[in-house]
Amino acid sequence: MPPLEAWEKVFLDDQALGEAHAGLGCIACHGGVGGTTDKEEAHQGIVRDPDPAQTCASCHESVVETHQDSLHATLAGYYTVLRARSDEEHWPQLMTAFDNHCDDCHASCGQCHVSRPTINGGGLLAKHEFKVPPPMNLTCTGCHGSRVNDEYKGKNQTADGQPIPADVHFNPGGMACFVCHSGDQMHGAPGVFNHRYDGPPDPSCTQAGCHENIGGPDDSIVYHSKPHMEKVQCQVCHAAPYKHCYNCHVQLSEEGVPYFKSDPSEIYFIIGKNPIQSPERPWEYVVLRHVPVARDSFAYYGENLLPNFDARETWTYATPHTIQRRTPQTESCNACHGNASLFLTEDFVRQKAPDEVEANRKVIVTKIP
Amino acid sequence: MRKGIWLFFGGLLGLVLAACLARPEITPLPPSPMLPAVPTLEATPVPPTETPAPAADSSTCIACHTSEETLRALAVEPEEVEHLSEGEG
Ligand code: HEC
Ligand code: HEC
Ligand code: HEC
Ligand code: HEC
Ligand code: HEC
Ligand code: HEC
Ligand code: HEC
Repeated sequence: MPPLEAWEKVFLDDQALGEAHAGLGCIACHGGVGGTTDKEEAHQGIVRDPDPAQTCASCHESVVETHQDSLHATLAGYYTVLRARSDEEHWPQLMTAFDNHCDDCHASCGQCHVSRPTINGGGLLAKHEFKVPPPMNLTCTGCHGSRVNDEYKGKNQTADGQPIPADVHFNPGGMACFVCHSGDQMHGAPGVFNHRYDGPPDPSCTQAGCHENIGGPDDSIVYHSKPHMEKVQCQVCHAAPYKHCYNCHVQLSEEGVPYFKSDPSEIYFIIGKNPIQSPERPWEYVVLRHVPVARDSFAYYGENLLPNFDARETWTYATPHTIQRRTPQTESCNACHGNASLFLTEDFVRQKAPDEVEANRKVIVTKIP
Repeated sequence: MRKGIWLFFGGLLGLVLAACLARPEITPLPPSPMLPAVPTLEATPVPPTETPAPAADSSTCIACHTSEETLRALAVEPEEVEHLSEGEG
């Protein structure tokens, strides 16, 4: 995104807020002190990103209520995967790391509707307009940049330099994030979600208005056979290669500035067993993505903070935004069947991450279909 | 497939229309607990603004944040720290 100078970040047009919001004045939302032209004095007690419960709730009650429990607000997904790999004893140290490195990622109302994400330096999107829909290139991809954005827009290439085309929904589809990820989803579906893949796929490729007839009686595509529909996630055939990250380590500089180091990412396609198989996600085979965690990711904060590292796979269930009609793995039936190089085998794991074989037992494919 | 597309856009249009009809009701804002007591100042000269001053006096906030000149003079560029990180986040 184009950078903003410091003054531009806070330059606004009070009319842009819209009548309802402008009528509140600034102080009702941000605190601070009125009636002075001295910057320091005016900014006493100022709150940059107002708490929705105290500011938006009086008028947008239902949105605030569900948003409070959404993953964007709670970051429950992070806690879920950390809890699975850690234990009570090491939790406090882990949370110190979390507060330093992850807390800025949470998305308040303003992070989608008013300002650029804090992790990108903040700054007003459009002179303090409350933007609907959120501009995808300034908000969503600010946080979902290195994976989703690059995949969706076709900015990756394989190890041997083959460019990977953009997701068909982006080109030629021209669909922005919010076309599939509705306001309702972004504001948090009612219910308890502890991870992004809890509950049924949302969105689902076959939901009303999308590809409802795939696998149905009128579908003449031979690949959409009953065993495939039952056992194989759509992305196994329709995803092009996508990004995998390894070995992220977090630490603080001497001045206390948080930073991280991770190994260069890799782009490849890999199929494994479904680690979260359920009636809602019944497939036996799904695509997997290596997530940036390593056994010693948090070593800076203490020894062995992930004592149960092997309790959770590191090649995890994935839904890459690299959808194509035809992919290399569907060039023919045998481009996939019997092609061991497409599957997460024990050999493959040993080669990429030798100390993660146990962690990935559940997803490793022992017999190539 | 064609039909699917139209159903999809039809549905989308329906959603947009529904969303337009379902505008939030305006209820008056209760006193915000975040509101610090605003000191009553005696006749502080306030730079002229085009908008009428709202209840809690925000006119000085607006005057400053709508003036490019003032902001350029007062804004401080944050220190660059990003470069410490290596790899993709
Ligand atoms: C209805 C509540 C509301 C009102 C009224 C309001 N703001 Fe905001 N303001 C927000 C929210 C929400 C954000 C986004 C903060 C974020 O996500 O970081 C924001 C962001 C800002 C930012 C940018 C912060 C950044 O670094 O990105 C500035 C500057 C600002 N507001 C000034 C004002 C001024 C001046 C007024 C009065 C004209 C005002 N606001 C009125 C809610 C409000
Ligand atoms: C005093 C009541 C009130 C408060 C408080 C309030 N809003 Fe609104 N908001 C409205 C009304 C009324 C509308 C619809 C009319 C309009 O667009 O001005 C609206 C519209 C919106 C829209 C849609 C704008 C559009 O163009 O469709 C967004 C987004 C929004 N508000 C976000 C927020 C956020 C975030 C907060 C808290 C920081 C907030 N509002 C606080 C009354 C309020
Ligand atoms: C300020 C950063 C930030 C912004 C802006 C942001 N996200 Fe997210 N998003 C996150 C984080 C962090 C998570 C993971 C939360 C978790 O797993 O606990 C997430 C999770 C998600 C999820 C999966 C969980 C769910 O609630 O469905 C989707 C889908 C998503 N974001 C899409 C979007 C879209 C679309 C936009 C723009 C409209 C957007 N995000 C804007 C940070 C952000
Ligand atoms: C992760 C991004 C994200 C966050 C966080 C978010 N929104 Fe939204 N919001 C959206 C999207 C996407 C839409 C739908 C845009 C569309 O379909 O045109 C939307 C639409 C809206 C609308 C207009 C339509 C409607 O549903 O009434 C309002 C008002 C609104 N949001 C208020 C809020 C408030 C208040 C919060 C915080 C409690 C919030 N939003 C948090 C992404 C977000
Ligand atoms: C064509 C529809 C579509 C579009 C457009 C789309 N997504 Fe998704 N997205 C999906 C599907 C399907 C899933 C998987 C949902 C599930 O299984 O629950 C998903 C999952 C996600 C997730 C959670 C999984 C993960 O990989 O972390 C995030 C975050 C996300 N999308 C962000 C975005 C962003 C950002 C954009 C815009 C740049 C976007 N999406 C555009 C369909 C879409
Ligand atoms: C076993 C592999 C496989 C699986 C699993 C699979 N597909 Fe396909 N699909 C294909 C192939 C190959 C084509 C292209 C056929 C052609 O070009 O003639 C295709 C074509 C399509 C098309 C284009 C149809 C048209 O009429 O243009 C859509 C949409 C589609 N698939 C959606 C899905 C969805 C949704 C799922 C999951 C429910 C899915 N596919 C699962 C292999 C698969
Ligand atoms: C991208 C991978 C992929 C492609 C392409 C593909 N398949 Fe499959 N197929 C699978 C997977 C994975 C299974 C599930 C295997 C299992 O359950 O043992 C499967 C299952 C099957 C089954 C059922 C086997 C059983 O034991 O239940 C048949 C039959 C089959 N495929 C035939 C075909 C034919 C014919 C084609 C070409 C038109 C084809 N497949 C293309 C991956 C693929």
